[in-house]
Amino acid sequence: MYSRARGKKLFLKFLFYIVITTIVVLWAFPILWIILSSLKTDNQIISQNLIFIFKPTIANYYKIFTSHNFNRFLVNSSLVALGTTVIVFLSAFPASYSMSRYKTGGDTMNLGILVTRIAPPAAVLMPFFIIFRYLSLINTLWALILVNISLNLSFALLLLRSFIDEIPVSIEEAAEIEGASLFQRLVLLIFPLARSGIITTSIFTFIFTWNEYLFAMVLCSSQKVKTLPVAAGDFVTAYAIEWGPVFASGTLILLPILVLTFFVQKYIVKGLTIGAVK
Amino acid sequence: MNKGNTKYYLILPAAVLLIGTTVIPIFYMIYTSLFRLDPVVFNRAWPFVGFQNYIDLITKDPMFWSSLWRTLTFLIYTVTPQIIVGLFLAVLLYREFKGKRFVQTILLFPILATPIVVAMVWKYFFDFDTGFLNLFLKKIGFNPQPWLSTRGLPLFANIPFIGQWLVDKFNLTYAFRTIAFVNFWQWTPFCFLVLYSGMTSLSSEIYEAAKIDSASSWQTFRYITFPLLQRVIWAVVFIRVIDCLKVYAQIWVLFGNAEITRVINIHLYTLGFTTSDYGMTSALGVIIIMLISLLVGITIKLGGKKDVQ
Repeated sequence: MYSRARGKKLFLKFLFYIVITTIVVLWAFPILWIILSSLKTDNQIISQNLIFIFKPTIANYYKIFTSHNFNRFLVNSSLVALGTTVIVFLSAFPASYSMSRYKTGGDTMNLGILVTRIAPPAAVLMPFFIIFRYLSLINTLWALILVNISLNLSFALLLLRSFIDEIPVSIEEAAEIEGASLFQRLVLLIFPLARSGIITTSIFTFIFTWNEYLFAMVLCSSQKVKTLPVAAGDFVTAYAIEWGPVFASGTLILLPILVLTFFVQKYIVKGLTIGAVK
Repeated sequence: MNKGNTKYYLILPAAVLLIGTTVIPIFYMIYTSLFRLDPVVFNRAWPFVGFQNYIDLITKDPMFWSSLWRTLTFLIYTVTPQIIVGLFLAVLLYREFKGKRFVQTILLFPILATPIVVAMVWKYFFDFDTGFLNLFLKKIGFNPQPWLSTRGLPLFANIPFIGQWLVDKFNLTYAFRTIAFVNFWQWTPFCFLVLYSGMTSLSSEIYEAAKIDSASSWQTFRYITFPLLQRVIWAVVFIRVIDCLKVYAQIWVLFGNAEITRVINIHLYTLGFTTSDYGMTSALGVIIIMLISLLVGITIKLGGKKDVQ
């Protein structure tokens, strides 16, 4: 009897690790494969054999940077993502403080935030297109920054407010008695205390803007203002797909996200779960 | 801490941005939906047509209803397996084991990966001739599968008499399964993550008690985890429904505006930038926002949760 129970336990353990391995392969392998393939030659990529071991080449990267203008797109993507993140932070930080402490805006503000959170971006594609055409903002990076502010501001307000809600008011009252002005309290007290919230919000705004495709495709299609996802998308929607550049550009786009996921994991988990678990 | 107008000054920049980049565009869209508006009349006076754009959409555009229905089936095919598998993963990974942190890190990455890059990889994996999956299948002695084809899935298409009808009506095609799968791949880890952190916030004492009463793992799940997690599960469903209705890039990269995978967002893009009917596109945008508000209202009512964010 004893050995039978033990056998069953061993078998279950074996089964458990099989399932775990399947999970890891299913979710890690595609990502790994993009990176691997970006270092292959075109012939190796479309070979009828699966090639795991090969001599890596940076030819695909060389190609997208020299003949496909990717240095320009990289700069564009970074400018839009950083610009949006800075503006969203500068406006959301004081606003979420005000909303947290004084309930400013009340239900109107909450409703507005909820509507922008649920509305699909595609639904508001048309008005942005028409308005920006009148303002001559089509094919400018400002158009994308404005759109991404619209797509991220409400989430940033929600996220930051829930972090500021957790900071006890008593700390501030003490500072007020000492004679600290509101500005001083915001910069010297709330800012460091809400640090993890600020980092989380900024990471999310950055990544969402970095990933944005639809508006970038419609509003910024000229070579000068194209962003990375649009440039990469052009490779795949073309009639004959060049897989080498596809994988190289894919790896390039995923790189900052990979780095953030591994180094600031704590903030990412917090940002993803805070809305739902609370 | 009463500083009179200070609280309004603090909120002002965000309020201006929110009004300028969200409220005004939405109201402007309602306004333009009442006109005939296309590239020809763009720089002239737009003819006022009242609700004609809405009427045309509902009565004359066959793709309107079919893409709405397709969006609904997409929602069901993606959200259901995501929640079930997400729950399974959360329960599975709740216990302690070697390499747990590693598995969690692996599962975190897809959530934030760029949707179009994810679609690009799967487009390659599913490619008929040179894709990884078919090469692998051939290697282990199976027939390659037409993953990206518009044909019906044999399992349903081969049902006598009603097979083809089922395929057409419920989008049971290879292509549709592929877009559902890509969405599943990217978002199941999110469901896992939220449900997992929901589970870790439950008290561990209750599990100890269950262990002492020698409850089986199924009983523990059925009578402890599931009921206690219900609120979190509803929140995940809510978030997933909203986000599935936002999907655009993945489907676009995989199949463009092919009819077989044309959900409402893809139809809107086609109407706006292939047909170039700006007025009708605005009307469709208004309808989408109204329908989603309705759907969200229903979800919140069903879940009995009023403070979902």
